Amino acid sequence: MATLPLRNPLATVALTRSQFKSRWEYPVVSSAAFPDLNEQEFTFSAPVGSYRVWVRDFVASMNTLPAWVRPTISAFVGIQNLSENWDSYGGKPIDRDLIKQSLYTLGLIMQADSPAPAVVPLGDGGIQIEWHRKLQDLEIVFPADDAPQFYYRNRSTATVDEGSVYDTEKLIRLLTDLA
Amino acid sequence: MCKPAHSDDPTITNEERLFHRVHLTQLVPDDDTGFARVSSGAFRHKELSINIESVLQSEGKTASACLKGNPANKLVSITAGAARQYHQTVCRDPDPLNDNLSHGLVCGSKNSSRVHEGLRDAADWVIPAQAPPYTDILAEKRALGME
Repeated sequence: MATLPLRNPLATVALTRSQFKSRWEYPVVSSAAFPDLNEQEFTFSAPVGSYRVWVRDFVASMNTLPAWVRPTISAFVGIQNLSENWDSYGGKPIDRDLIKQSLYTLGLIMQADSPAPAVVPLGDGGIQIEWHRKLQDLEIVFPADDAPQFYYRNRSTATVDEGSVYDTEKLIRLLTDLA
Repeated sequence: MCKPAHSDDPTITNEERLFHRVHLTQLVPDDDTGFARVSSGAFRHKELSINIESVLQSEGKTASACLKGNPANKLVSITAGAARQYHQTVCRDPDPLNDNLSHGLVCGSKNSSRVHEGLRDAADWVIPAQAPPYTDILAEKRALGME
């Protein structure tokens, strides 16, 4: 069963291939409770606990998850099924391992009040997640063939920073400024 | 990297507009303005496909021809000079089999944030002529099942 590391005690999420619906539960329930559903699972873990994320045809109401989770997962669902040549320039399907990596990273750095990122597919099958607000730009890139990096720019002060995505403390700090 | 045959073509002037399609999924919201902006992720390909405006015009075509058959795309442009400013080469790469004689390439590594961010900043909207409200883009994405 897939799990998502959220910094706050949260939930499971259910996605569909053709339409996004979500079900948020805490504590986590077993997928065996939904044997008739076609599920696609992702696995994540976090020091603060284990949470589950799976894709399936299911509809339920949303309770107390942070506002960023639903649109973010929805955006991931939107890009995960892009087919070969999706961008008309030979774009490759998105690498499922990079979806895991980027969700894992989000789980580590997002706060309950963090704004939802935009989730952008890259032509090489990679992923870029980004925020543009408060005259600041933050982009976290998961390329298909290179180490993940972040890029930050404050347009009002012309401050620029970049580095490894594994510098989660810095990313948390930058995201706090964006919230 | 570009092949030797794809070295910089000096007959493409710095003022030349180079059109590039941007898929809806590579348009993101600017939360300060509410308008869509192009993600720098649209400018990372080592061999970035473009259409050269003057060749299009010589064929009697307009920019909209670049979007033919690509309904999930918008169109932006950079100038050849802007591409060269970021150490890219600009060359012709006509594709007569696909009736795409104006096709060209902007070649070079775009891994550096300076390059892909610079290209993104240099891009101008062509179709639509101005940045659309992001809500419009989101509606299009949803209509096409992208989000």
